Formats: sequence, structure tokens, C-alpha cells
Amino acid sequence: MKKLDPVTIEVVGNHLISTVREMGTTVMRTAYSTIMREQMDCTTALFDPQGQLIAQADHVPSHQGTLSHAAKHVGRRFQLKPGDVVIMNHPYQGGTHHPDIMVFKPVFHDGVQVAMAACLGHHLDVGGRSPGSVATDARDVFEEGLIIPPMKLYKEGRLVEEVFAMIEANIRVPKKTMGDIRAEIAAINVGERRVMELCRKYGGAGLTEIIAGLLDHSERLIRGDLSALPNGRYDAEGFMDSDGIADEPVRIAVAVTLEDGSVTVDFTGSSPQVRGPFNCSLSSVQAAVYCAVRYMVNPAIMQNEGCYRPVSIVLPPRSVVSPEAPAPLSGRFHTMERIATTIVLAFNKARGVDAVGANHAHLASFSASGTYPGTSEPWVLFEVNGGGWGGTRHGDGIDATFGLMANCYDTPVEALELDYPLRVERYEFVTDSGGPGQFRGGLGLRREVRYLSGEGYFTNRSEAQKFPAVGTRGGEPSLPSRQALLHADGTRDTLPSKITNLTIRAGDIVSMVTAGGGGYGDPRIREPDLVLADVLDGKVSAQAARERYGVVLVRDGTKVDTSATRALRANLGSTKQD
Amino acid sequence: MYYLGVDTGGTFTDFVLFNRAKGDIATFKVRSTPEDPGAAIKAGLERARERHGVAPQQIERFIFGTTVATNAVLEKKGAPTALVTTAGVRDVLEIQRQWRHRLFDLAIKKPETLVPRRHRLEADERVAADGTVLRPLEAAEIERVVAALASLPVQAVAVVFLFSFLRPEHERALAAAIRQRLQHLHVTVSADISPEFREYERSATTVMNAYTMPKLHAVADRLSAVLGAAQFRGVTSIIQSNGGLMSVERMRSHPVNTLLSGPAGGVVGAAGVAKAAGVPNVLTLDVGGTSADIALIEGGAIKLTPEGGIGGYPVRVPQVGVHTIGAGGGSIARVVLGLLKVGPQSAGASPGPVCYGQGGTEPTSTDAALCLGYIDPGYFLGGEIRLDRAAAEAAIETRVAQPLGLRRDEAALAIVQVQVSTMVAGIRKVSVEAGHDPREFSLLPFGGAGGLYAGLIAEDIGVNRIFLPQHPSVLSALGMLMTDIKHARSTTRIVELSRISSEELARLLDELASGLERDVATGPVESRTMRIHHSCDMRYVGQAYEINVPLPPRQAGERVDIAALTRAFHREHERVYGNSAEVEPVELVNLRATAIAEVPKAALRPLAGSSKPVRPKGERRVLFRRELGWQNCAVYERDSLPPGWSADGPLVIEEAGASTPVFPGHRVSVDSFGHLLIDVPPSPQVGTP
Repeated sequence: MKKLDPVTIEVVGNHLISTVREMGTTVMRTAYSTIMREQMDCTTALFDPQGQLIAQADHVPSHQGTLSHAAKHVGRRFQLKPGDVVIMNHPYQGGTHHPDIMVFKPVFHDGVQVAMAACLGHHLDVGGRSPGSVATDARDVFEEGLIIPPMKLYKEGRLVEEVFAMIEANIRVPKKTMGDIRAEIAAINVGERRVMELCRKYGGAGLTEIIAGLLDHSERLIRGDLSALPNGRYDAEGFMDSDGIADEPVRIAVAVTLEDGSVTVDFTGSSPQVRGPFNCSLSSVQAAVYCAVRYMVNPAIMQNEGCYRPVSIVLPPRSVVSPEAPAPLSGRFHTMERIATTIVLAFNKARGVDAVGANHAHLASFSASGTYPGTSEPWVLFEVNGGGWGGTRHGDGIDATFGLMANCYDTPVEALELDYPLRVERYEFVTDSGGPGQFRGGLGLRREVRYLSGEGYFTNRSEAQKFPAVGTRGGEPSLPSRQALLHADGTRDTLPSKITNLTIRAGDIVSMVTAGGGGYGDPRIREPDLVLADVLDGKVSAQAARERYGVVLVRDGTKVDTSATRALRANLGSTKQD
Repeated sequence: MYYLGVDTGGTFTDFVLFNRAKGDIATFKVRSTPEDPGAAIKAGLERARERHGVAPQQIERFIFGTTVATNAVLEKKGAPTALVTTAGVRDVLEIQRQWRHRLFDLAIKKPETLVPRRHRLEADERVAADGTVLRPLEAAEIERVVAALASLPVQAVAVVFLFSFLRPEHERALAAAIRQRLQHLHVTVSADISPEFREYERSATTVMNAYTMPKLHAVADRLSAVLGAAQFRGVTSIIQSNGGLMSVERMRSHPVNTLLSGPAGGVVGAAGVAKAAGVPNVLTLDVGGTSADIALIEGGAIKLTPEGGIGGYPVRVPQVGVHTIGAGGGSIARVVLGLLKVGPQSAGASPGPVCYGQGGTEPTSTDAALCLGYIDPGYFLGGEIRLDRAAAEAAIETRVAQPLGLRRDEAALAIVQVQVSTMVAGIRKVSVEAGHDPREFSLLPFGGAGGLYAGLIAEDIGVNRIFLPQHPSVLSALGMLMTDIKHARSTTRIVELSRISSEELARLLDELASGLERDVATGPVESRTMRIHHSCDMRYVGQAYEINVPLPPRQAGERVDIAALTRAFHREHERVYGNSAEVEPVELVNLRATAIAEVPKAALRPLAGSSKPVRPKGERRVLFRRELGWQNCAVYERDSLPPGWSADGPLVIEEAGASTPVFPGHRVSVDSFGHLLIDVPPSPQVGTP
């Protein structure tokens, strides 16, 4: 490896990160829809001409490397000229799912392509059978929206009007979506300008060399962290409740093989391709794998192609992780969460004391619709919630938070009620939901929303009802998730984790309970004072303290009964050994 | 007569004494006394009398900045506090909107909640989103809650009910009962602190107010005792996070307003001196030991933001917008797998940089600056600490130069370069990324280490003027003497603009204004004129977040031109986001009003020129750029440089608290107020010194 000036690499690295961040700010400053501007569901990146990732803005974990596959596809397929812009969303040609529209622009210096600026944005609607392009019971990709194969939207700086018009004619909210596409293009234009500035400073060839050094550097760091783990093959499996059509579990099988700083993730044994929209195409599988690997290494390592070089992925054909067109895939996010958590569980076997309790691994989402009281004006709500994280040797898992692949803000109770004829009756932790352990899993949450007016529809899309988060190193599993419809007349319908367009009436309450995280270590060696604190805080019940943790409190519940606890724990320990 | 500004820092308390007759100032520092801030004030008053001949009776205005609340929150040393919420939502405070502030960390911890769940009570009451009462707060329920509170080991209580910004009666009824029955408790209600929607942010802010209140009452008591004993007869004011002043009484009820006043004071001071010197656009860079605070001032105006944060909690009170990065004089340089990293780890004040000789072993950016000749080892803090250059060189040699295969001086230069690239990224964030061109701004460094990096930062980011204020190390205290009383009120009213009448809007604004008049009236009467600015937070229907649009000045009772307001929103949206949608319906979200009550302020007068020839106090070898090698250059004492003086770099200017290398190709001059101006030529080679 050529000896590189370490200072220049560090300084240029800072500049590149600042550039992809500025590109991200540009999207948010110019986007029309709230999904990109407020929830930051977009990502910006720079690639080399072959489609190797140079730098990417860290907004949402699930965007790890999602653009890489598409960038390589674009790099291979087109002879790009200055001013060209390629647009695409084709989930079987490098895309993720329909709403994620990607744009790419080459950057030239002295007539030679040196880089590619790219942006991915999640769009409000891209046509298809249902508004928002996320039909939970879609049977193929054609029902899920407009498919844009990689094609030039600009040729040498000139807009190809026909392509623009074709997209515009196929979507429900053309003004917002086309505005958002223009925002993505504004971002890649900023990226192009900043890379050209760097070329003027360092020369095209000089910059290329520095970038190669950056990629090598990240690769060395990742390999260094991975090689600290023992070589070997580590298996794990995880299950989803169903595919939304048949009430059968979906299996994710992974074999993680570690060898001197390289890792292979083999999905052989995973369920065949499913009928419902929970299949995961390559870009999404890669994102889940890269994301899981990043949880295993130093999070400060700069994200670029070097991070992915030590990672290989083996996919069984026609499976849930390697579907064939036109299998539907709009709900792939739920599968990605399960993949990431399952990989973490496989790594657990190599990580000894650094193993962690499982994540709740689901995105509890529900949508509801209706009309505003006294009008025919329709409303649609889409809400997502998280659950508990696994315990670790450093402490309890965090409570009520989005999973490994997501990070966004909840909807405030007051914001929800101001905008919709709904009322939030409860938004709180669920006692005993965290898996018991020396370090407890984080708590799941309960959100109860009352429907106030008229009649409408409700769709539940959740997970973890049948498969709660498992514990590690003697830690115990969390409580599962539960969803139910509580009717005004006092009756109660328990709901499966995926159900579409149920009728809901004024006075009914949707009750969403999410799973906690898995515990770490034997709960019977948890510090009794920590158990006491949990009981005082109502996070663990006195009964669970006794039965799961072997901790007895004095009669008024304010202190640990030390001798009774010692006796009970000894007894539980011996029972356990039997 | 005199004005005295007092800024409490971690190590020193800074005093700035303004002589109104002469228009000049004297500055001094005393050791801070964190356990009893009164002791430092007492020492400072004595020093003013002994060294400057100013008795407390000659001081008309006493302005105080405190970080007691800030430290209480950061160190989790506030009072044990309870929270009472609407039934069903007591965990909102701990759920923290489900957000995590760092990615890819399985062992992540969220900021520890300031009120444990066992101290969070629920009251059976409910107000709907339209302000109607769904379930009244019954007398029996008040009884029950008061009884439950009585048994908790707490000193303060926060009351936060849903939609209290529409109907505060429930919060007030419970607070009245607590005040009457449980007199040992400090009570805060959310309607008084942040009457706006989004319950988590309102809860966190209200809880921090309660949590810091007992400590700030103690500060207020000490302050009155010390000033009373010294027979001070002037007006006492407190600097707030919004850069304005408030009364001591207001600090007792609104301690949360001081949480971010530390960085605010410096920015106010920077804006004040720059504006007086005719420099309206500045980027301020306050470099401390572990971090640097960056702010943007445009047209002399400080940017306020309606919400900020501290220790991972949101603080929803208007405050000076400051961007903090982990780069300071104590930032540690390390070689990590072949690359040089500087910060965010810091040697802090203890053990400090290697050259302090207090046990530090890892080289810092201060050690690098010392090795390059930017700092005189015998004149650090005016000679108070003797720096060990040999130790700094040895640390850089073994920990940076050898691993990277560089010469020692190249390694020191590399540390400075990497540090500068971090600071440049921070400045880009508040300038380029917010749509401002740095070339239209001057760079205004202050704090001990700001001047060390200013020349290189300016070259990299394209700033062509550096403005080094007089008294850079006491700018916060000086700023306190240059600002007015400032109070803000707000209320949430979410309604489409087409569905609210001009009269109703006017009535809501008038209510805010009369509330502000009462707020100002509770303070000391030293204000001659008061201005009220109104603004509205608005958004397109369906957007999640709003933007703030100022209203033109108006009289009480004057109707509001809603069409003009709508147009102003579209214009502002265009400016902020680059687009607008004039056919889309626009929604009102919050109404805001700020009162600025003018008070007498320090106005510095130009200094007299001097015809005395200026001589350097010495000469030393300095490494500015690798390609130029070590250069002999003149070293000047800043105090010896009269207005009108100028010279070309390379040279170094020193003062007791700071040192400024002037790079080859840069030109420095002294303006009529004694500020240093450095002109930086546009460089084609930007970024690669």
C-alpha cells in the first residue's frame, strides 16, 4: 500500500463528510413533503465512477449502503457525460422499494469522471394500488407503484421532458413528488460543485488517490475490529409472525463466518420467497447486513466502501431475502429489522461477555383513516412506535425506542390530537415487558388511541407477537407485542400482527403494546437494589421481582428483605440446576 | 458612576467595570467559588474598591451571569423533584420522543431522567385539543395529589397537563393548593414556562425549571445579602439565555432562563463591540479548553432560536443560537491506525496539556501551538503558568511524529491543521449550510485560544477579515453591559389563517403584549422605553414543523393584516427553503412577542492615538507554513499598539490571556477602539498551508 499523507487524508475526509451533510441540508431546505424535510427520510452520498461509496450522510441507519448497489449498476450501464442525471427506483435493478427514488450525477474534472453524487429520497406516493404506495396485501410489484428503471432524466444538462412527464402522470401528488425530485437534484448539484472544488485544490488524480486512501483506512479499521473476534461459524435464526397473507412464520436463518477480519453472512435456510410484501431485495438485504456489522465495530469509523469490503453475503435463490421479480416488497423494512437483529444474535456467539439481549426488532405501525367531523374531508394517519432494546454488560437496555434500523421522533400526543379526531388515552411503559436479566431488557410501550368520530378504517402492521426478544447469557425473553381493538361497548378484539382495513367506529380504542428487549445475564444475580428501584418505579412488579429475580421485598415494599432474598435465590438456583 | 458586569466561569469570575464619565473600562478576575458564588462577588467588590477606587455606592448597575443552573443540570445535582401529569402520560418525560442521539451503539444510554418514575404522579383531569374540559380536576383529586406529594422526599414539583397552553386553570388550581399546603415545595407550572404544544419539550423545560429553582433561590439570597452588606444601592440584573437581562425576582421564578446564558453572554459581547466598530456581519468563535462555540451575527443582530438543548434535554425558551463542537485548546492529538485525530477527547483543565506540567501525557493542540512558537512559554496567562516546551515537544515526538514518520515540527503543524479542519466544518455548519456566504462575514475569535487558529481558519473558509476584540477574555462580562432587558411570551393557536379573524389575532397579540408589560413592570424601573416585537410561527397545512415570521410593528388594538401576513410567510418560506406554494393553505401555530426594555448601556469611546514609536518587545522563531520553514519574527505586546498602527505578518501579538500569530501575507492593524483587524488575502491555495 502506498504511503499517504495522513494529514491530507484526515482533512479531505472532514471536507467530504461536510459535503454530504450539506447535500442533506439542501434536500431538507428544498423538499416539499414533510417526510423528507422533517423526518429526514433521505440520504446523500458520493461515489467513485465505479460506484464505490466515498462518503455518506448518516441520517437513518437503514440507509447504510442502500445506494451502493444502484450506483454500481448505474456505473456499469451508462457512458455518463457531464450534466447527465440518472433517475431510478426499480427494486430489482438496484432499488429498495418503490417510494425510494434515487438520482445520480457524474462529476468531471478535465474531461475525466472522478466521482458521482447521489441522493435517495423516500417519496410520499409513487402511484400503485394504494395511496402512499404501501399496500400491505400487495401480490406483486406492479400493484405497489410506478417502476422507474435506471434512465437519464437529464442529458448533458438538458431535462428530458418525456421522462419527467411520464413520472408526473403516474403519481397521486405530482406537485409534491416532483418538487421532492427537484430537491434531490439540487442536492447532487451541490455535491458536484464541492467535489469540483476539491479537484481544483488537489487535482483529479490527487483526489482519487486520497479517496483510495480513505477507503483503505476504513477497511483497515473494520478488519481490525472484526479480527478481534474469534474465527468460526456462528448460526442464528429469527422469525417474523407472518407474511401478511398466510398466518405462517417467516424464517430468517443466518450463518456468520468470521475469518481473520472478514465476515460472510449466509442466509441459506431462510424461508422461500413470500406471497405478501415482506420480501427483501438485494439493496435492502445489504443495508441490513452492513447496518448489523456497523453495530459490531467502532461506530466512529467513516462510512465508505472500505467498510463493506470485508463483508460477503450469500443468498439462497427465490427466498425471502432474494426474491424474484415481480414478488412484492413494500413492507421490507420489517424484514430488515429482523435480519439485523438475527445477525447480532449470531455475532453474540463470538462476542462472549459483549453479547447483547435481542432488540424488540419491530416497527409497530398502524394507519387509520376517516373523515373530519361534520365534513366529507378525509384524513389518513400513519403512526410508528418502537419497543425495548436488549440488556448489555454495561447496563439495562433502553426503553421504548425505535429498532436497530430506524431512528425518528414519535408523534406528540398534542400534535396528534390537534390534527386528527383522535385522543391518546395512554402512552406509557409496560410493566414487566423487559426481559429479566442481570441487566434487564428495555421496556416496551403501550399507546392507546381513541377514535372520536364517525367510522373509518384501521390497518395494523406489526411483529413480535409470536416471537418476542430473546435474552442472552442466562437473560430471559421480553413480553411479546399485543394489539387489540377495544370497543366502546366493552368488548375486545385481539388482533393478529398484520391486518388490513378493519372497520373502526367512534369510541373504539386501538391498543398498541410493543415488545421489550431481551435480558442479559441471570436475573438472579441482578443487584437486589436495582430490582427494588425497578419495583418502586413500577417497571417491574413485586411478583416478577420475586419469581423472576428471586428478590423479596419487606411488607411495605420499600426495602429488600435481604435474608429472604438470599434464601429464595439459593432455592431458585438449586431448582434451576435440577 | 459605574456599571459592573460579573461573569461566573468554572475557574475565574470575570469583572468588567465601566466608567460612565470616561467611557472606558477596567477588567479583573478573581477565583470562582462554586459552593458560594457570593464569596467571589464579595472579593470582586473589594478589589474594585482597593485597586480601582470604586466603592459599591458608586455602582449604579450590577449585572450578573450565573452557571449554577447549568451545572446543576449537567452534573445532575439539582433538587429532588416531582412531576404531576395528566392521567396516562406520566412516562412522556422518560420516553424522550423515542429518539436516540447516537447511531450504531447497542449499549447506548439515554439521558437519565431528572424525575424518576416513582416521583411522577398522574392527576385525573383532561382538556381536549379545542380547549374544552373533558374531565374537570375535582377538589377531591387535588386533595389526593397533594397528599401523595406530601409523602415524597422532594423539594420541587413541576405540573404539566395536556393542552394547558389552551386552558391553564387545572395546572394553576393544583399549584395553588400545593403552595398553600406544602410550603416547603418550589412549584412550577408549564403554562408559565413554555405555553406551547408538544408535551415532551414543555415537560422537560418545566421540569428543569423546578429542578434548578431551589439552587437559584439560594444564589439570589446570597446575592442580595452580599450586595446589601456592601451598601450597594443600584439595580441588579441577571443575564439570560436570550442575551437580554432580567430581574432577580424573575430569576427566582424562571431559573430555566439562565441555563444557556454562558455562551449567550459572549455572543452578546461580540455583537456589541463589532457593531460599535462598524462591523455588522461576524462569525464568532469562542475557543475554550474542551470545546468551541460558534455563532453567526448578521446585520448586527444575534440569531435567536426558540429551542436549544443541554445534557441531552430540550430547553424550549428563546435563546442565542450557538453551535458547539468538541475542539478546544485541550483537544488531544492521537494517531489512530495511521491517521491523525485531534479531539473530541480533551485533557481539559486537569491534567491539561502536557506543557502545563500537571501530569498530562498526551499532546494537545495547545502543546502544538507552543512548539510552533505561537505561544511564549514564559507569558501564558500573563506569566501565571510557566509552560514546559521541552515536555510538549517530547510528547509530540513520540506520540505523533514517530508513528506518522514526520519531523517533530511537521507533526505539530499537522495537529494544528487537523484542529483547524474540525473548526472549519463547524463554521460551515452555521454559515454555508444555513445559506450564508462566509466571505461576507468577519471572523471574530475570542476566549483564550481563538486567535491561535483564526489565520488558518480564515484562509480555509474564505473569510478576508479577522476582528480580534479588545479584552477578548472578558467579552461575556462586557456583553452584559451592552444589552437590554428582554422578555418573551408565546402561545399556541393552531388554526388555518383563512379561519381566524383579524380581530381575534389582534386580541391574542394584545394579551401577549400586556403580559409582557407586567413582566417588565415587576423588574426594577430603569427602563425609559420599551419596544414589543410580534411574530408568528406558521406552516403549510400538513407540515410537521413551522417557521417564524416577524410582524410589522403595531400598536395595541391595531388590527392585523392577514393577507400581508400570509404573503410574508410565503416569502420567508422561499428564503429559508428555496420554495413556496402560494396555493397551499397556511396555518398559524404559535404567536410570539418579545419585549425589549432599553436600559443605559456601556458605550466605549475611541481611544486616543499615540505618536510614540512602537517597538517589538522581542523576537522569536515561529513555524507558520511548512514551505516557508522557521522564520524569525517580531513579537509585540498588544497594549503597546496604538490606534492606527499596522504591520505585515509574519509576527506575533501577545496579551495576558491570549496570543495571536499573524501569518505571512496577512496584514494587521489597530482600529480606533483598540480592536485588532487582520486582513487575509484571498488564497488560491486555500486549505493547504
